Amino acid sequence: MNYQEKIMEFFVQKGRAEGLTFDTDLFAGGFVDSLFALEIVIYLENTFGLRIKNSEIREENFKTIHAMAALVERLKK
Amino acid sequence: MEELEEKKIKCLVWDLDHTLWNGTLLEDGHVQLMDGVVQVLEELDSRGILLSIASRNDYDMAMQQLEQFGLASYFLYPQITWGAKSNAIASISKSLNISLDTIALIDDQAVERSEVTHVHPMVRTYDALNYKHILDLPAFQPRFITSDAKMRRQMYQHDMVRKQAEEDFSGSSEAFLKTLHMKLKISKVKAGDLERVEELTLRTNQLNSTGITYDFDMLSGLISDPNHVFLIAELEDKFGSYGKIGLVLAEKREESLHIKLLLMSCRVMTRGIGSALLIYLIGLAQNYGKQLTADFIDTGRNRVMYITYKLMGFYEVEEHEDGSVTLSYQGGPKAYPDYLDVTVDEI
Repeated sequence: MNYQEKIMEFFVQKGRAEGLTFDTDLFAGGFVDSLFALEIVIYLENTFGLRIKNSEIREENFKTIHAMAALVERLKK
Repeated sequence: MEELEEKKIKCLVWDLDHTLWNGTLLEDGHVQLMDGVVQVLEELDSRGILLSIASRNDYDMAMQQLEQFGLASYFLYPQITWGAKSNAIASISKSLNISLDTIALIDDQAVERSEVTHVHPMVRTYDALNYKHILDLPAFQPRFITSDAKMRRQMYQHDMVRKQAEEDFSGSSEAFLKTLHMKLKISKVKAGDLERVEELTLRTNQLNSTGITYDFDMLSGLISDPNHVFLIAELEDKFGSYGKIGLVLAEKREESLHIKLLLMSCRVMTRGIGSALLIYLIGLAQNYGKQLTADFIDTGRNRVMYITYKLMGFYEVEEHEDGSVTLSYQGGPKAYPDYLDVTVDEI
């Protein structure tokens, strides 16, 4: 399973996968559900064994599943 | 210093046998309430302290007995199982979304109390012998009893109904939010709100951008200060009111509208209220022709607020020696989410 699929799995678990593609803009609705945002950060950290630094927590790194996978890829190196 | 003052208890968890009532329900079959315990429960409830149960008992029989005493509705998320009480406490903490250091257990069994403190050292425990004295302890005496406090149990009961509705709902979480018909009202803080404002700053840990507490006099001075924007937000939906759940303090500086404090009650963590308040401030700053900036102080518990800011399009522009950071909004105007009806009252 690649990073994108593994991240999609989180959205499936949370019941948020309907109509979602790797490139869907997650913040297009203009809002961030604080708890969900925290959970996704923690999910990435725990699933991939990373520590995401504050400087990496940016809108563009979390905008899509694709962007999150790229972030994981970069931090894994 | 503030730290020396004991944290107030938000929820008192009761054992049943030999604590709430005399005798052992399953052995004696017939039990009587401890003398004066109903008054203790009523008083705690009216102070806005939540009540729950951790008892090793038969669930149906115990609940039936509580119904007969007319007390069942006082207790939120009662944990009546044969499992460890430390698990019961953890489950209550999770369901109410309050931290363990604001939860207390009252139990006649020393072994139960030490099992709980062994697993959760920050949970305070009390011997059931002292149940009448609980009311006199500072940890059970909020500084003020606000109208939000008096309604607190009902608000949590509404939340239980909402959670059930959410579990039963088969669609996306945004689709569920739409069914709630949420109304957010943003208004200027008025003198009558100050007790609630102080209470919010003291009670809110996770969803608090700086953790700075302000005393009553400072807050009172800010109401009429033309250099500050000082707002309180109230939320309701089709299940009822959540009460006054959000607070913003921002300073009008030369170049920027600077958010000194942004906080929300844990009960609205999944409702996007932080975003809605930020969207309002983004528009306000634009009207003033100023940048929107914000302080963030890491308190060890508020990472969720940092993430909220950053994912809304804020960037770190300055890091200070004390570890706090200044964030600045770099994006354009944003619209409120369509599941939320936002009204702004004479600002």
